[in-house]
Amino acid sequence: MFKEIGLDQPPSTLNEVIEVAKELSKYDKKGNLIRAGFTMQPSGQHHHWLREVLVRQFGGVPYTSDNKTVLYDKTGAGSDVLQWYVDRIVKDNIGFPNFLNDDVTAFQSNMAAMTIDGSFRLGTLDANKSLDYGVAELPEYNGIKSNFASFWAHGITTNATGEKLEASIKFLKYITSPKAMELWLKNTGELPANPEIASKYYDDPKYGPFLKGLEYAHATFFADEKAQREVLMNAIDEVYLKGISAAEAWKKAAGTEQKVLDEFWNK
Amino acid sequence: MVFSLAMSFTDWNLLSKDVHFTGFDNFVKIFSDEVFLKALWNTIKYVIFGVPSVILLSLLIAMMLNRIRKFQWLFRLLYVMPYITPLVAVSWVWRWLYQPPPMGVLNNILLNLNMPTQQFLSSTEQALISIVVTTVWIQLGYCIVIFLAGLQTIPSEYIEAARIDGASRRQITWKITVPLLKPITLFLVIMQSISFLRIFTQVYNMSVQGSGGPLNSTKPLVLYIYEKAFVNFDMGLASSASLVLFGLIMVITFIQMKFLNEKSD
Repeated sequence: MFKEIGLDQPPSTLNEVIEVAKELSKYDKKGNLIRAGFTMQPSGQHHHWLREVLVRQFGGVPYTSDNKTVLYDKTGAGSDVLQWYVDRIVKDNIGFPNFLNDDVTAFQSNMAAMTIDGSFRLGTLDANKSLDYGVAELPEYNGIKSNFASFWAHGITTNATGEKLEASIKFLKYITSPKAMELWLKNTGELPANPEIASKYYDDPKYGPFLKGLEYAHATFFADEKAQREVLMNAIDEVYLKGISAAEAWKKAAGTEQKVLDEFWNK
Repeated sequence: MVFSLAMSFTDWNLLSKDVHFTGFDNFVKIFSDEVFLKALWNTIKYVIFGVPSVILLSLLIAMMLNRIRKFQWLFRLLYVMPYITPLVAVSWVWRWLYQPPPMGVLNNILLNLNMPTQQFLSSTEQALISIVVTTVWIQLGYCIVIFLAGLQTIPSEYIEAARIDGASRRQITWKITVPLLKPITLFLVIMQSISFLRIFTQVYNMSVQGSGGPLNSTKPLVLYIYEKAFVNFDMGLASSASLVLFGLIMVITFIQMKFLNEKSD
């Protein structure tokens, strides 16, 4: 698709991304979007993008460093972030939530030019032979680079004893071995935790941008990821579907998310 | 049920070993939760929109099918198909039918008819109705078969006698057929009300990430209970909400039995 408009490099700033997305969006005679320039899917990775990337690029901070207080409504450009996001849906019409059901389906079926997703999607995308795609780091804005990353850890419960404990230690040793990590990476795309193995892929065209993005990434402390995701999805829906002002929706989102955090910390 | 009743007065959480008696705290909590109130109202809306539509439509179709002599079995089979198809599959097919252009079949039909496209499941106003339509379509088969069975038990002598007395088709329908179907109608109204009050699978599969959205506009009580119990592991709260649903089902069923029974007496 980039070749259609004579691009040989992916856009690297946010404004460039949006300009390219506008050029690559296609509409039918009635003005209905039939190919999205950019997926706008808050239920996918976009709520992370909004929270940890756009908020910071608009000069804000999402939470206090102890993760107990929501700050995105009180710092930086506040609700401008939300307004900016909804404007891309309403004013630019480069994509909208649930276009072609979801961002992954749209991108996989060549109906969306650009999307934001995690490295864990690479396995799925690579399995689709008709898809010709590349990976780039997230676009920067106002000279700020930011990224969201999540990680998970293996553990053994206190209930494991005797033979079971021995077996689980054996399994843990295997699953964290270099061999298992490389297998895992090749099949799913999830990045290895062992820096030595990770460094081997630092310049890989697909894994490389994800690894480089980790250098400036933030991990959100989720008290209840589903509830916190829905807070941002709902804020976008309120502005996009209900016409409520971004300022009001953003304030309400911060209030609701604060309640979720309070409930967790006051337990 | 007794266990759930007891648990609704506790703070039982799957993640902690301690259970404390908390009195009516859970009930206070859910009735001050705007999502719960919205889910309660949505559940009632599913019944109000769904039950009359499915009963009227199925009665109408059953009466038409009853007149057909050839290939009645084929039509009966066709109408039952949605009911015997797995609900998850049906929900996903409808979810895709409702998609915006270029993918959604319904919107493409609208486009070809030169009519404005609709948001369906993405709209807070249309999403609940869209799910009701799907559910009515599923339930039709079951109700039609039951109504057909009922129609075939009506002795043909009654109809013939009425015809000889000069009754019109409409009179036969309203004065003979419909009153004689009353017990079956009562049965179906109650069964359908219960099934709409317990609606879950369609909503879970037809809303984004099973959230009952957009903006909770389609979230029924059962989904609320499911989220509290199996996402937040707050079993106490989920038990209280279940108790409210149980009460609602009982009250609605009781009213229907009383109302429809009196009329048939």
